[in-house]
Amino acid sequence: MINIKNLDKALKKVEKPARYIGLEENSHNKDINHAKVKFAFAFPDVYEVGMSHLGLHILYNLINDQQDFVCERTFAPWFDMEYQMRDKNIELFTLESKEEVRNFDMLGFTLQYELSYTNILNMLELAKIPFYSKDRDETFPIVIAGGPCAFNPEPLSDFIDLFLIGEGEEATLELLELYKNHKERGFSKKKFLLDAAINIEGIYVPAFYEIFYNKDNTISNRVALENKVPEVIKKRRVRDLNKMYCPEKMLVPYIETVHDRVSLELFRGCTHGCRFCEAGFIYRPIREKSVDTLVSQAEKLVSSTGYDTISLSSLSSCDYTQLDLLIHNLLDKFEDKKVGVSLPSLRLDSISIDILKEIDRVRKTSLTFAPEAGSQRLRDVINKGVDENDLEKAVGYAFKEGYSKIKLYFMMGLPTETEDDLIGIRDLSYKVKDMFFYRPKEEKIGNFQLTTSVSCFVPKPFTPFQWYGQDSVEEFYNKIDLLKKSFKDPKIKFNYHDPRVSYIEAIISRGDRRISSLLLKAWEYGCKFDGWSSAFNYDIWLKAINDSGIDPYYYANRTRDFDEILPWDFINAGPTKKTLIREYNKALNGLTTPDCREKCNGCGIDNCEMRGVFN
Amino acid sequence: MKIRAKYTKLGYLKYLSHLDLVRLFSRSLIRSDIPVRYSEGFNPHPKLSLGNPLPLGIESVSEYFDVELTQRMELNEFNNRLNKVLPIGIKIIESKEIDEFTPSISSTICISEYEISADVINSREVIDYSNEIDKLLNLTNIDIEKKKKKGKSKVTTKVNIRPFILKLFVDDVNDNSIKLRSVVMTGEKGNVKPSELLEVISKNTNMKLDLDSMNVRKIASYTNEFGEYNE
Repeated sequence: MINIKNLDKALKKVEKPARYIGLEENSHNKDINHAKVKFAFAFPDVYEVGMSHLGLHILYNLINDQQDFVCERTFAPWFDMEYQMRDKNIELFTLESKEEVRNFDMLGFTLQYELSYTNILNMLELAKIPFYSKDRDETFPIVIAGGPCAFNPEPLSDFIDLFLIGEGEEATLELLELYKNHKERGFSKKKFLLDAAINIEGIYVPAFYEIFYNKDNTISNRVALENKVPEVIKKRRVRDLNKMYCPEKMLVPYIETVHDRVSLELFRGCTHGCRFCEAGFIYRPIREKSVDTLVSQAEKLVSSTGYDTISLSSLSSCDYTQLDLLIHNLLDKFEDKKVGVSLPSLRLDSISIDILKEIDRVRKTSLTFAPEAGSQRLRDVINKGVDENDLEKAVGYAFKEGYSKIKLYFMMGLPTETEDDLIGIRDLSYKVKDMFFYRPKEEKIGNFQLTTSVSCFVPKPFTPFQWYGQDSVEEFYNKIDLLKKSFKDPKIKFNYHDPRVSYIEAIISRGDRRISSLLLKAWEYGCKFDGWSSAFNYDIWLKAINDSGIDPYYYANRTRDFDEILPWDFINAGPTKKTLIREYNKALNGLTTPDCREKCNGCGIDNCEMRGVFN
Repeated sequence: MKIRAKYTKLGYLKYLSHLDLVRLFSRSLIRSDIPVRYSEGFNPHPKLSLGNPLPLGIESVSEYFDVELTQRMELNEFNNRLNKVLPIGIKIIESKEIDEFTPSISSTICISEYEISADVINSREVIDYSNEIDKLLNLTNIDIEKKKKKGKSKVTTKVNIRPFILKLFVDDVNDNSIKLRSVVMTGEKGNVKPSELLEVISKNTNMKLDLDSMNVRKIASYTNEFGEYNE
């Protein structure tokens, strides 16, 4: 355990000490010294962000429900706390037992976004754990990682001992069980990793493979260094969500977090097949929970947390087949308790007036729509299956129901984009504004405000656009200028995402093993919390890129060939490469692919749960 | 029915802010199925009001909140139900019924008694601590600089806190640390923080205290100089 007196002194000096104290409602009170396997769950960002992540709550409860295992949490300390920890020699510790992370058996990082990678290095250093997997012997925890970004594990492969690809609930328990067995027999890191790589599906141990490169920097060959380790790593997926573990409790933070509410997961996966969306491809196929299961889970979660809002959180919650019934049942059950229901994202095509009315019975929030592109042509290219009529219908409903604050999300830098498509963003925004003001006077309720946000497209692994080169930072800024000049209405607020951040993200997200040297350099030069605009320092990143000798154009801006070996090709995420190539070609020709609820497009997932459900 | 409850704030939970506490009590009321009254309007919230904020990092066994219920309830049951869901460190000690004419907590409770411990930096020197404290209290003026927000800018003003210190004495001495007891005003008419007491001691006496080692517990609240606030 860390020195508590020093911790107390540190806490008195920092801005939000409650980030570091633990003791929240529903946190475990196990004795870690009695656990057979001690697991530290690490979220490489600040407490408020990490605690809003549903996966943390699932894994935390799942592991702590097992008698032999214990799971404790650790987060990236904010700048002020890091300073205090270094000043007072406090190592990275877990919130529950205030135990040094270094004393745990396993340390698991969740990879939610690439810009948190420098925080991983910083946390390892604060934990006094060597960065490189090869430098860690049995006296250090096994460092593992999972989450969406683990689908391209290569940029972190020098640092992480073992990756878990896909949904984690089953594989995590298998892994902890295996660790327990190895520990009882006398633990050897290599033997454990080998056993896990060979016998647990979805486990990838980078040290067991070597990568060879061509003269042009592309990958020439990938060689397994150990017998029996799989050539292809197949992602894990949970097959029946109704039978799946669902926490009846959620940790309830004392301080305000990003999502202060019950998160109710309706389903996994998504059927739309938007071509830019990684989650839409890697979490296929869609698997829904039943209304009965969800209502009973919601009841347990509300009574164990005391939250006053239930957030229906899934990739595209409006797609839930029985959404009307679900919302109706939830509101009926909780109206006395003043518990409201919220939908984090709305799709234009599936929104119905009834849903808005139901949500309205308790509380009103602003509405967000994501047309993603400004013209129908470009929306077809990205296979965003909505048209202008859908938007008009949805916005019309919203205004009628008294919503006056609307947010629209777009992307720039999408494949085949022209100036006309960009001006389309402006046109669509003005159309929404006009729709509000062209209505009869008595129907204009509230103070109209439209926020149009434009982000920079980042090509992601396992999407049909994984080959496509990103716009340069300069091109992005030109497009922003064009848009900025075209918005001249005080009722419309135009926001854009920092292209420099998206550029760094693009370098890492399609990176290979050589990116690890860039990450380490960036950390050495002081980069951390890169996802925070207040902390992001582009000049330092440029220096790190320069000094690590990597070619940023090669990773971010270059359009790759179909026959090139991509760094993540050895992972089977579900849809085949052939499917992605087909989708890429269709995109360039402006051809759409139907939602898989309408028709099976044969993306290549084996034993797809969708077959026989919708088709 | 209106209830005034007295509660503790101990251990790590001394790091909860005022707003954190409001949220904690709101959620705990829902979880304990207490029939709390809600405000009307778009965002209904429980009718709950807490006393003056306790500075972050200070423990207390004497904090108060008021809450309105839609139905009558036995006070014992109110306490028990809430205590079942409240975290270790925050516990209802007692509660009583109040009515609409009862003055608010913040207008009633304006004096706090603190137990303050801190390391003495110059503990090797021979110093009569009690004598030093008496010397301090004999001053008619003890000025400190207080930062105040005026609009958007911060202004520092000089405040004489001597009139707000009602009692201050040495309770105990241990090797290199000292334990003080103090009764000070903590309200709109005058406000002294424990950290300010340590500052003025270090500045005006021969005793040098380590501010970083400060540990404080509020042990009582008073309505006026003469009597403890009675339930």
